[in-house]
Amino acid sequence: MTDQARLEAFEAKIAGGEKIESDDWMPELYRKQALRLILTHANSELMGALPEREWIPRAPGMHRKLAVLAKVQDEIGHAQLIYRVAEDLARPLGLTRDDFMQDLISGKAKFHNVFSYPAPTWADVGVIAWLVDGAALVTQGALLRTSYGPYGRILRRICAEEAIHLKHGEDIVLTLAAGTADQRQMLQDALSRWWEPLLHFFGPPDEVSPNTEQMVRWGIRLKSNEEMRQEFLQNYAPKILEIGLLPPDPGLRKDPVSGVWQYTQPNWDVFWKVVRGDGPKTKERLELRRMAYEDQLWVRQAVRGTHHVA
Amino acid sequence: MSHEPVEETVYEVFGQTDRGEPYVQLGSLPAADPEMGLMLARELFSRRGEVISLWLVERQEIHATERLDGDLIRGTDRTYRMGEGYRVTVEKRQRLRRVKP
Repeated sequence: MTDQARLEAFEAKIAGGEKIESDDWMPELYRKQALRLILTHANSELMGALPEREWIPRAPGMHRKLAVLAKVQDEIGHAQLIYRVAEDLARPLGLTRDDFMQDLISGKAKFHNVFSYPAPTWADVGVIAWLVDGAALVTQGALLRTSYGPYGRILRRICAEEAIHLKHGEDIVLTLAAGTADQRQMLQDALSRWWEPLLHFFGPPDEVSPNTEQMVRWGIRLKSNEEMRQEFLQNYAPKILEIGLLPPDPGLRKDPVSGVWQYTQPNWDVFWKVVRGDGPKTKERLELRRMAYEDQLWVRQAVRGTHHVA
Repeated sequence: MSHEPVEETVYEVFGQTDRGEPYVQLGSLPAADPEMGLMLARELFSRRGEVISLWLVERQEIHATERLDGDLIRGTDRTYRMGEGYRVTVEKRQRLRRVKP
């Protein structure tokens, strides 16, 4: 079969809703695009555990402590599952999990912008678990129908667990919202801090790069940035307003005719700065990841049965 | 000091949600040996007690068919193998009832 015939058969398969498996023929570009998307997700799960990890010893009460601990363990577990999917995709390119880690630590590979911000109060933990995980569920929910079969399958488990995190976060937020004036203020401050990163979460609106178009055509991605941001606002803005919290945007309102949420554009320069690796906590958290990776080399060697040849 | 790396094995993981249920493929994992693999499988796939039992199978030990084109299989008439191919029995019974003296 010629490459052109292969490509046509591949595209027909996707157009017919069939999934691509790791051992199927696929265009080099499909492999690279899918790998990049999947690795960004895996890196984000791994890095996302760090801000919450800081709160395990400080969480108020045993129940909350266990819940945060379980969430951190879930995120690391998700990273493990997704890196495994990435390994099969990357094998023909000669890349391994060690390469993924090196690229993450060196800043070459990306992770989600939200994980470059500090979580200074307990209310931040609630807002992260409710709204950041809520935003993640919007993007991951859209990816459940991705054309890459192994990723879609593993996302079912991941989405189910993210939905639990969201409830855990909402519970923290509602508890604080029903608390003292100080607690409500702490919650409002946390929301105000996270509002811009949450709007950044889905990326700039209407980016129509040829790269994205190709990814949508091949079913690697399924929704546009703005579609997902609208879905997020549709789901969460009313719930935020209902409990007396105010997003720091006087322009936020739902157009009664079109049903589209109007909002003030966040500062996209800040977004690009964070993407380039210059977020408030990017370097510190990557440094922590590097330390963990290097300090635990002996563990990897022990479990892999790496021999020391004197 | 030099290291002689031993490559990890990829295992496919299967789990049973309850007694009497089939084992279903859950995903895969890399591990140095089955013992480590089972430990990791429990952490990755049953943190909430989703399964009562796990199987680990070395991926390279799995014998598989070629993946056939779905349209090609379903394009062939196989109604004689399917229950729906015999729905006509309802009508035949009714017809018999009518001609009965």
